Amino acid sequence: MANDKVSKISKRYEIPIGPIHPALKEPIRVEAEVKGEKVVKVDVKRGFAHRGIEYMGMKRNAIQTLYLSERICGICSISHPYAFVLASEKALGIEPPPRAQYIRTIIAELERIHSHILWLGVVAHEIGFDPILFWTWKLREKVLDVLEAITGNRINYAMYMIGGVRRDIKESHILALRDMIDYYRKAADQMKDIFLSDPIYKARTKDVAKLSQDLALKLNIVGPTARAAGLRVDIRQDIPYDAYADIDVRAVVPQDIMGEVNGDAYDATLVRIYEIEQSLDIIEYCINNMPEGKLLAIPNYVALLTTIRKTQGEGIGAHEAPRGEVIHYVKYDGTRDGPVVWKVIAPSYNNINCWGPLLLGAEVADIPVVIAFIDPCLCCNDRIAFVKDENGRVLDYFEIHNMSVNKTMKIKRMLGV
Amino acid sequence: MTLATIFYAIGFPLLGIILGLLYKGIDRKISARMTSRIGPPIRQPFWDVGKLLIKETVVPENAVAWIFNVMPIVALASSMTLLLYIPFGIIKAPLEGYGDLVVILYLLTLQALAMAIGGFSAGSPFASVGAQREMILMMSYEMPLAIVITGFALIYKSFSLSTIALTPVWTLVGPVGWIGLLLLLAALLIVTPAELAKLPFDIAEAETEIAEGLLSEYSGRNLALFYLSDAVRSFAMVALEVALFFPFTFSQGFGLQFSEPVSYIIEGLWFLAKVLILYILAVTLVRTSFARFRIEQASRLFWTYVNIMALLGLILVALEVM
Amino acid sequence: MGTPWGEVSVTLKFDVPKSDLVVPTITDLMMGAETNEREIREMLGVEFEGLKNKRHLFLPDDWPEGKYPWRKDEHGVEDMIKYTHKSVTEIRAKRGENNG
Repeated sequence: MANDKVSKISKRYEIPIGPIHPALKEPIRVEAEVKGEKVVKVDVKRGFAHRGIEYMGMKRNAIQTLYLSERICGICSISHPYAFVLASEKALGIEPPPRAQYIRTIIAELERIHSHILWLGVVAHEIGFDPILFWTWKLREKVLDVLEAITGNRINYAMYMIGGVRRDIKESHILALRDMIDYYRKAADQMKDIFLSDPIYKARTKDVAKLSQDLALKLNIVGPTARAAGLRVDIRQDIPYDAYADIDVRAVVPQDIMGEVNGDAYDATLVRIYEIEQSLDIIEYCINNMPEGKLLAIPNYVALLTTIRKTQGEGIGAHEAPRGEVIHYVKYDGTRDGPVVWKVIAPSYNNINCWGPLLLGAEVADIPVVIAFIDPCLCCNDRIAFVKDENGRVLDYFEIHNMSVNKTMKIKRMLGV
Repeated sequence: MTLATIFYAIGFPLLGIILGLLYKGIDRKISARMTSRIGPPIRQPFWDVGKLLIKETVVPENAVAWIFNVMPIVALASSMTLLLYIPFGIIKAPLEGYGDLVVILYLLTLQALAMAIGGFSAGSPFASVGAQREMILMMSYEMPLAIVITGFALIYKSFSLSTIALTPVWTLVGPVGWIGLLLLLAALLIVTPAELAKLPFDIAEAETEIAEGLLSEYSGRNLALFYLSDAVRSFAMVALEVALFFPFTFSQGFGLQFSEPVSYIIEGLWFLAKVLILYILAVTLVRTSFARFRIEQASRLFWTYVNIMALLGLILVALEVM
Repeated sequence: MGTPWGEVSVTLKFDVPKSDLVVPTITDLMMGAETNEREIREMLGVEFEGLKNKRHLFLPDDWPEGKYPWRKDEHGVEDMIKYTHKSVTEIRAKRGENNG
């Protein structure tokens, strides 16, 4: 209480942001001490969503762990399996067939598009620009529909497998993809108009969350946040894998587009919008040059698990997720069919490092922008949801499953797949 | 005490609440449609108030309880009183002759001040930051608002709103005055969302920054009172603008003549329609097409651009009148 | 940096005896490594010489000393479940509330 009084006299307030706060979509705590509108002291506390998923994975077999890794986060539900299969393939010495590699790349880029559009909406919401939130999220439905037509789900696609993919992309899917590419090329132009030339958006994001190139390097910042600061880092460019090795992917940095780097939230927006276009190019290249062939290196899952049980090895898989690089370390010791050691490093693990330095001296109004600007993904907490129908009756598992199957069928008919 | 006084005392607040909530409902529906949502039904604000009234009212532990509880009542009372000063078409304002435009200026300030004091008394950091922002914002927009009202006083040589509502202001000045009046109108329209704490100036209640700021500790009946006062004030503010700038009556505009009781009803509806149109233009459209300003950006906007605009308008009007 | 195939990753492995779990910090060279070092410190019990911020990162602040979830030779996670997930009855009894 005494402490409280002192802080009141010196006009310093402690603003607790989180674990639950409108600016946060997931639980984390930022304790900011403010003087007037300026933040004078920051402390970030994490760990509210730590569920010990890695421990769960070490008790399961590799295929189960792969789909468990999809559940680490709903938005990155391709990024984690991608890094996991890359690490496992390196550890086990399996080479996926070329067609599977291309399909993986297409799905990963589709995910990047939907994640970036989601981020644009969230940032608009943080600065109170709700109409843009609704507009961007409406745009996002198209790519989610295409993903559902290809994989059967809006998120948690269950598409990847160690040594390949589980589903093929057919001719009719390719037509839907081409249609989607045209749609988003137009949408990207509109987004550039709305975000990059709107005066209030500029006023709220220019020079906010300004990250210098030097600091970004020191704090291990990755992904679009680092590229917005002018660092040319992109796993797809630096250590290419799968189809990225055939495509000359270059990191999108603001100095190539605008000629100068600020490293602020405005540049982050710029980088993300241009990356949507880059993803469209990559998808277009992949569907034009898709090789024929098998989908799986080891089609039989029992055989795959037997191979895993016999193999000793460790591997590091790195994938450029929409938010930055996601790294999985996997170790198989030849005694069980699952990993004995599994460690995940998600992009936000490093990107949250920049909150402390960026929030110091910032305005209270900028806190949500700083928080949102790295697109934090604190790994969605596990939870239980009751779904009720119009009459308030709780639906059971089978009914919900049937409803979602019917909806997927509807979307497939709609997109002509 | 006459029968008319009793009617005004009971009828006007009731009418004000119903109209305020109705307009709020229409505003929410249109805003939703503009962002391709279905939106709540128009009667939703009534349900909201009803729901809040039956909820528990929580007073935070370190709040100054009596100030915390009194401020919502002060806010609602000031909004209601404000309504009594505004002429309803050709129906005279109930409190006409008891001090006019200057009192309105004070009543508008009083409501915002009540909210700020309530915020300070809540003892929560979010509410305190919100209250500080509300004070800064008030200091910024009161000046242009005062200039606009001074402009009117210069033209009419009177502060009485009923006098102003009788003769449209546009007929009293020449072309130079017209430009001045347009500038004053523009300044007033920019002040409107700030006065009503709507986007892009809902800085004191910024949801994502300070979790509804001023109102973060309010609940139950207290929150319902603030909600009502906001609804009533929104209606009253727009009605005030209509009375100042667009007092054209239906019969004048269309050259029609009606008998006594019919004309009152038609003029009343005509007035409500004008208020609705201005409400949609000045509140709904603005709040759906802008992002929130930062506090220092908002106050720079008011202190420089809007002030210069309003002062220029005032000078032009003065040149015409003097 | 900035060219295709331009990144070289380096993995350094240290064997540290369990009796003397100390390695020097690299936070003076790379500020961002603080997160990783704090995580390893709380999860494995490896001390970093020169690490300034030693607060818990993911584990709660009142985590018992000497329990390390990542240690495979000790029952780290089993302990974690035992220590953190106190039953509701236990908590209520401690607060002096009656059940209900």
